[in-house]
Amino acid sequence: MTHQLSTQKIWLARLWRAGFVLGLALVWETSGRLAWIDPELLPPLSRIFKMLGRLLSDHRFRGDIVITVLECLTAFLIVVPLGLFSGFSLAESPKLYKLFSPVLQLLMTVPKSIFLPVFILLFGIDFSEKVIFAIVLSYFIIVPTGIAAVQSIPSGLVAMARSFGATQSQIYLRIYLPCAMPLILSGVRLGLIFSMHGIIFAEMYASSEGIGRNILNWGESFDMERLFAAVMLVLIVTVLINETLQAIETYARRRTLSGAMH
Amino acid sequence: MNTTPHHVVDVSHLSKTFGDGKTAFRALNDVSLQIKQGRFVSVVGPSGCGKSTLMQMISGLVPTTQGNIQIDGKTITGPQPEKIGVVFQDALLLPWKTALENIEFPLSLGDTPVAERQERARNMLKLVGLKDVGHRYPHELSGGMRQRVAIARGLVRNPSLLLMDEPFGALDEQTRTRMWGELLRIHEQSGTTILFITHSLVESVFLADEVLVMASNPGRIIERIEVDLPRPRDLKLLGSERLGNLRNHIWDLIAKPDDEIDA
Ligand SMILES: Nc1ncnc2c1ncn2[C@@H]1O[C@H](COP(=O)(O)OP(=O)(O)OP(=O)(O)O)[C@@H](O)[C@H]1O
Ligand SMILES: [Mg+2]
Repeated sequence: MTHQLSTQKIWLARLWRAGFVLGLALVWETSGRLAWIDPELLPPLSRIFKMLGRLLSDHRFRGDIVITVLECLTAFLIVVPLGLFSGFSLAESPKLYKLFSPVLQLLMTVPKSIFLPVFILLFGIDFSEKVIFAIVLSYFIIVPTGIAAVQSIPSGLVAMARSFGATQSQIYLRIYLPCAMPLILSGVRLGLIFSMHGIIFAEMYASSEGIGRNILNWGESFDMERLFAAVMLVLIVTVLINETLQAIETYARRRTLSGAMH
Repeated sequence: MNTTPHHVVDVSHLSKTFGDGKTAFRALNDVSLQIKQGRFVSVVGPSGCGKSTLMQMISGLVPTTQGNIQIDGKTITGPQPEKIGVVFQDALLLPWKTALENIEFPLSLGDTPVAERQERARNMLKLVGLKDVGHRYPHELSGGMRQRVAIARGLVRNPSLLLMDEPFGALDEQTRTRMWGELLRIHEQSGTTILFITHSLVESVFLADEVLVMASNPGRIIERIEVDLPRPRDLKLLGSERLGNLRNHIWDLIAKPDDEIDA
């Protein structure tokens, strides 16, 4: 009964979102065609997609995409394990937690973008600078997720497993991992999104290549079609990634928490 | 191994202090108890008198401050999964495993072959009267069913001792009464020694061969009561005068310290 209701709600929400996006696309398209807004400023959606098609077949832009994707993946693959592991260690050790959590909270509140100029001075404007900036930006978002993941593990289940003779590694694998999985997946998702965020931001700030650099160039030269095409590309990719990971997360949460509601 | 009834549990001069310095708190003071093989012993006492602490120390989950705990004649220093099965106040089932898989869990931690694991888990499921719901997940079971799965899990390694901490505390009266019947039947069939913690005076008397009555500040055993009601126990006994007298006697013991505090 409750399950049916909640799936119904989820579908309603999906329908509403799809409808919203479609409606927005429609308004956008007509506004350009009927020239409600200067089409030079906001070109109709169809022209943007056509341009996106052209961009995707363009060698130079494809090279930029490859660079951005490589930077994102590198940052992602480094920061997610690093951030989650830091979170786990902090949550597992009261001593470490006492020592580092005030520092962490302080650093979390600081806007990381103000350090970008310093990073550029330290690391130049190449691959490593962008990756390091993205890592720093994402790290402080993933660590709290890692802490929350450990804290979400019911201590009763751990005591239960221990009483039946579970070794420490069995407790980690059989209790910690499944219990923490939903929040670990949250960490993965946030890691991916904020890696992309950091990379594109760094590319826009100072770079000679990548999607972000192109977006900035086209914006400065009022090349609205290319600008919107590139923005649309990033938008579509992020939304797809986010939705996919969120679906996996929801599945994991159902699996681990379905019994805990009683 | 000796075959004559021996002390499965032998606790001597056990004390527990939480914290140290000024915040030190004596939860248990000089507790001694012995339980012979196959006996059903219940522990009653006011909230906070240290019943759970006592059980957790016997289960090896919590270290002792002073004293000695022997299970089957050996002093313990940690959990004894081969000898002791534990049933916690909440069923504490793994929500991502089916009832059957939950019962298998203790065996899956060791090196029991899968086939034997499933066979034994299925037998346990039968023992607790749930053989048709092995494939269900905990959230698809009623509270009483979940508790029975937890009991089956506690028994699956054939422990010589089953520790139960208020296992029926969260159940409604009807379910609880039915669970009493089940537990008595399981006790008879498995022959396991049981240490049973409860808040309910009637429950403590109805199920047990012996009731240990505890008092708090500091937590200690103030009296041992032999329950000479005949076995197998029949639910009709619940209305009997003998059970009522024992219950009233325990009530007097427990109520006394409270009166002193009021005065
Ligand atoms: N980890 C701990 N640290 C400090 N004090 C504790 C700890 N665990 C228990 N205590 C204290 O020890 C005393 C006994 O607790 P315990 O849980 O054993 O009581 P209990 O008899 O099981 O109570 P209840 O019937 O309410 O379950 C309580 O006063 C409690 O506050
Ligand atoms: Mg208790």
